[in-house]
Amino acid sequence: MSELQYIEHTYFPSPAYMTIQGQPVVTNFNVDLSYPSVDWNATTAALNTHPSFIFQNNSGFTHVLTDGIYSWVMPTTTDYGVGYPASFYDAGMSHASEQTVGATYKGFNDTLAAWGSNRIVGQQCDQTWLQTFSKLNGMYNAGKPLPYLQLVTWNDYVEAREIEAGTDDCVTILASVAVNAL
Amino acid sequence: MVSRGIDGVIIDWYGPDNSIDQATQLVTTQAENHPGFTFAIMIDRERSSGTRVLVVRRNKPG
Repeated sequence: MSELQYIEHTYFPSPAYMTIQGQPVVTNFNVDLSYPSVDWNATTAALNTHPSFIFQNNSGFTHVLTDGIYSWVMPTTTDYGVGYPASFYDAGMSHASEQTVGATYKGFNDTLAAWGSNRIVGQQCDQTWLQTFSKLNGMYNAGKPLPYLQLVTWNDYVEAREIEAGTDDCVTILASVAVNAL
Repeated sequence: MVSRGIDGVIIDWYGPDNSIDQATQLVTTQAENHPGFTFAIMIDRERSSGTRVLVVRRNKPG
């Protein structure tokens, strides 16, 4: 993972780089899945700065070097992915000394992606978006706040989950003209 | 993003020396020009095209 050395050299020095308790945050996507042999201890030993590692999903807590976990949209489930957050937040609460980065999302659709496998989480006229908020609101509150929340994602248009363009609440406006009135 | 109350971004990053890395360096400059806005890297070696940026709301000070 020479990439981490590059990140340390190129990005950690920025005053805008996100830190947790002074440590620069690094997350990863599917590294455990694609590169299970990664030696995180050796990788970290090669750095001058120890990052705060936030791993993916509940299993992220099994890493020796874990500083927390983040959740992600689950496009393979049949419940719009809303069952997974409860399990995720339960795991987060059972590791109170670590970070929990929750997630909300409006949907998912990779049918047009080159790597797609026709996975679809429907937006349900905003209900998927709202349900992902409801899940975390049911477990966290002002007195017990979720440390961090990811909005998944800002601009992943190819998997149809971008919030930059807003969400689809299915509200439509039909205009018509009657004599001189619109 | 700042006007919408977003505190920062986590950038889906595919490694050094490609268009996403160049975009990340531009984000770095923009974040530095907006005090309080932060960014972080998510290492993704699974995909090699496209860009996705996650946004972060923070409830705890960093």
